[in-house]
Amino acid sequence: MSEVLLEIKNVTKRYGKQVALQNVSFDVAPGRIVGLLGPNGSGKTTLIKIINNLLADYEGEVYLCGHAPGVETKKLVSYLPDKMALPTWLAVTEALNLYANFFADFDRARAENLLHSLKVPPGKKIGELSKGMQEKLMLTLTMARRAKLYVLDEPIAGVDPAARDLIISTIIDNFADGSSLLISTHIISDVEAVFDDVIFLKEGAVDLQGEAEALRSQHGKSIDQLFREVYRC
Amino acid sequence: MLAKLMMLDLRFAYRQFLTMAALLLVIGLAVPYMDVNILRLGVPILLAVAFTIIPVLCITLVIRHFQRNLYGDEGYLMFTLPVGTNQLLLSKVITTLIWFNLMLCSAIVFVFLLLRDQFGIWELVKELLTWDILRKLLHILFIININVLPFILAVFMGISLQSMAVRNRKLGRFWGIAAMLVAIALFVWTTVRLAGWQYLEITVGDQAIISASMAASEKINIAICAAFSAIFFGLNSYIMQRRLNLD
Repeated sequence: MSEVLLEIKNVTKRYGKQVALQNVSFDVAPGRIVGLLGPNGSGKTTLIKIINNLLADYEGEVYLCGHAPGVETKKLVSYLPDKMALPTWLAVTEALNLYANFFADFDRARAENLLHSLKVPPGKKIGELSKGMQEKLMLTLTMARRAKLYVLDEPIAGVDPAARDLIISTIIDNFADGSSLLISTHIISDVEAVFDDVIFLKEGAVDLQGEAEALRSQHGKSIDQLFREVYRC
Repeated sequence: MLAKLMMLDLRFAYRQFLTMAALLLVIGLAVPYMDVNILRLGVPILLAVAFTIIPVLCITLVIRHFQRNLYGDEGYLMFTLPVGTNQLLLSKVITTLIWFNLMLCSAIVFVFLLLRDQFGIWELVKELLTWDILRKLLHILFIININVLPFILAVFMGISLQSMAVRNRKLGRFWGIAAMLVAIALFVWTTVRLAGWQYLEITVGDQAIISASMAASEKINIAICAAFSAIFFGLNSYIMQRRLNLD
């Protein structure tokens, strides 16, 4: 790893006495697809919120291309939250306008192609779309940016198994060359083939991390089997 | 970027605000043509709608928008836009003032329409359309706006404070409302104590003294409003930058 895109150093986050993240450290190099793995409540979303400057009150250091989370990093990160963040009174095309207005790296033609291929009706209000369609719209807007880092929080959690492949291929086919992808998920089997690196979070701490291929050969197991072993109740 | 944010904020409820403004004007226009018996029953209701329900609706819309757009699910979009938190806050404040002025103007026109049989409305309009009167009206509007500003920021600050209580949202809401009420009470008390008392001395009778006293009061009033607005804006901005904790 000659250069670092995302640097997380000794990050700790507490909610009162409860520790959500404890001394988490890792780097993400350019051009890598990184799986942030862990069961519900392991701290994945908390970490993603910190990277996206949605949680400001934490200890440790976070740098993206040398910048601490702020206006500069927001220009570089394309974020897919696990919630419907768009105002539901907007029409789909107005949501595209919104992204085009605020993000200089937003590729409108690509967004329109994605909407077409994912069969999202452009004329409808977001509030009139089904939950699945709303998620596809959010994915379209996220992947139509030419960002340095894509951060996707549980992109396949609410999607039926039949649509997962479509979502995953949309993600892989559309992220910009040289940029990196951080995908948080607890559904490993469908996505493990695309990971270059994986980070296992357990109770707010990094339990295991490394190159996906090296971990597979070292443990003689798939990432999914390893995940089940690490998080066995 | 601020202009783009304001456009987004203005669009969220422009239909509701314009409908309420139009409703006031329609009521104002229709009242003189109503049957006397209907009027006896209807005027108190119309006045209640105009001066109670509509302002309450407006305040509710503004509070709901601020809460949802920054601290609800939409916050995940708003706080990841490449804009500073001061711009996010400023956009909300300016758009709230725009809605306030729209509704204030509608209410004034509504009153004029209701009273149009008492005096010649066109003569009044002609009289008002002089540079001197317009200048005075703009000045009054400025004074009203600068006095409203700390109230808006205190309400926003209360909502922002609520978001800090991550473990107990209900308790956070209580402290947020309490802090907002204390902030408003402090502002009102300071204004009355430092600027308002001079207004009470206008019984002296000497015009020169009255004018001097009012001018001094106004300057103190503006200074107090500016100081409280700056404090409330600063606290809001601090919470959004340093203590943000989205659910």
